[in-house]
Amino acid sequence: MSDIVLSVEHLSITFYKDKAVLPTIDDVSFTLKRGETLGIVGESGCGKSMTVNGILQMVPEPGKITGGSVKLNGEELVGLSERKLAERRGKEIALIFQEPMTSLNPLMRCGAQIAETILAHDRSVGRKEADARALELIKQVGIPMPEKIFDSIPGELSGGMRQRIVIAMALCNHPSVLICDEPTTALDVTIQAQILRLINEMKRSYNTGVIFITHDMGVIREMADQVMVMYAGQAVEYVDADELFRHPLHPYTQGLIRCIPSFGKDEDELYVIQGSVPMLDNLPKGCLFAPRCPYATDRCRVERPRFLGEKRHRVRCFLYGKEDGDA
Amino acid sequence: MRDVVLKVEHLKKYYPLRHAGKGEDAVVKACDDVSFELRSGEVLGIVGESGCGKTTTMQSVIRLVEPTSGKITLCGQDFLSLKGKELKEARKRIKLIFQDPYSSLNPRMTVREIIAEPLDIAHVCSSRKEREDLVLRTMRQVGLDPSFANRYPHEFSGGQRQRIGIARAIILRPAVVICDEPVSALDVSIQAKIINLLKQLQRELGTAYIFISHDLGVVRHIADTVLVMYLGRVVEQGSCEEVFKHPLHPYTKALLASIPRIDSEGGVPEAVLAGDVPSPANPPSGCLFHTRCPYCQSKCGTESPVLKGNPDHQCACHFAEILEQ
Repeated sequence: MSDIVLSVEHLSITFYKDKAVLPTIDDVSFTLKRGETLGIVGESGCGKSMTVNGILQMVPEPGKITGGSVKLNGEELVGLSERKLAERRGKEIALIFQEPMTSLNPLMRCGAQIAETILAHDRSVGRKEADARALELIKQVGIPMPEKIFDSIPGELSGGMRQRIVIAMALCNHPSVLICDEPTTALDVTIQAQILRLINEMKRSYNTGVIFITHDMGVIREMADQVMVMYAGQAVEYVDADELFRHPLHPYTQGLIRCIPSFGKDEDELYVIQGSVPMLDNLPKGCLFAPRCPYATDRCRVERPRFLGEKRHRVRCFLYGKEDGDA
Repeated sequence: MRDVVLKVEHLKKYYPLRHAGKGEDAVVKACDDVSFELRSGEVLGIVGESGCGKTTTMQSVIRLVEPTSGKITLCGQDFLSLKGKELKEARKRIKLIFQDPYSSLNPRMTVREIIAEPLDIAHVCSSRKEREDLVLRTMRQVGLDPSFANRYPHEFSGGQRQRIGIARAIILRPAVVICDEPVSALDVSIQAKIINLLKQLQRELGTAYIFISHDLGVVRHIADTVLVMYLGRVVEQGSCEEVFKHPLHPYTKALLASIPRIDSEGGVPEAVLAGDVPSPANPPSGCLFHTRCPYCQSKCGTESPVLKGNPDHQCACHFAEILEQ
């Protein structure tokens, strides 16, 4: 049995708006192993969440998956029937969103919501057993007074507690892939630390592969084994986390790391990445990052760099490698 | 020594509870006995988790809500005794920047109207030309292209909108600007730009800021002095340097330890604080923090600690001296 639970190859998503063709995700590839965390990082509008939509085959209209493959436990998801996809979602692949309140039904008791997810995927389980398993999960995610919370509605809980319920719900069918889309952005630092720890514990006990999406480099440092940095729909750097923070190669990655006010250094002025993420209908001709890049050359402005490098550390930039002979 | 532009003494804001349950206080002490001084050109940071009273303190200082008691001196004037015209006049000297640049700008007003509104309210411009000049100059000052004056807020990105909000706040040259989580809604790269802009304006105009944030990295970068709040009370207060380098209160230590840092070795640190902030309607007895404090002793459950220490660094903890070692 291979350890790879999810492999995404050359995934491309295009939006068709009026007559414009907008390449939203451009040729993104990665693999995720059991028990491993892949961090996806980038500014808003870089395609992090759209990549997740692509994996789940939930690209909103007028977008389409225009190429590539998504294999979950060896099974191709692109082109799979909606009924079969519905069976996979929530069972083999689960999702945790940023704002726990919007992903919970405000009128349904927490325990019932978890039990519902169990019942939806396993017809052999009865209501009573599902309830018992839901209660067990509520205990597992570290909620005090689980019996009371089982009968509470989400509005009665704090943000951190709600996120724990969402995590319990995501894990109730023992998924092989857990996708966390900015799960702690809406929480305080102290609660964030608790939730991050919980996700790691759950990852270990269920041996799940985790995709962790965030714009916070500090969180990436703590959570990720592998990191993919995205910019304007492309992967610009893909490497293991230790290496990324020791030797970030892409100027965008370097910028993201440098512009955080850090405790270690005393500087008067914060480093700034000039400009902003380009609009999809107005992408630069050459390297997508060239207009904001401090090292951009004439070549960068006319030619798109390919995503190259050895398997351990891939980067999309002309500054590195011998891409000329490689084509 | 620079002059004190804002002095707040024993500021309290209690909200009455209509349906107080058994054993609950009849009031929520949203801001309980907060005192600080702000000198011109200085930045005071206020940090703490959600629900600890940062925003209530800010609202009471500017009198968006009337404080229950206390004393506020703004530029030598007793701010709380002012009424009507005098209050309006005094409010020229204290302005606000909000967290969400989307909801804090009127979508039906142009950028020019938004930025000029404080001028119109305060009747400071004698001619249309003077008003126009001032608006365009302020736009340039915050890094907005003056040719955008006729556009509406929705045409701008989050970072640019925040610049519009800043222009509106500084156009009357206030002595104090209160920034309530001004960069929390922005991407890191935009966040850095806005922080640099605030620092630049501080140098150019000598404005003092009250900077409210839950991001300790940002506060550490911009602030000179800092207040750490918990359940409406100040638990630690002092110069930024001191508080961040030698935190005394267990809560401050926990906050600092919870921040994900890029210079760490990877891996999530031990979750230093268990549980949530207790309900302010039913606060713990004694030291408010004792229910979550890892060093809690029997004394902490009964006796409320007072803020003590030297003027440069104070802390409200019974065992601060012992914990330091």
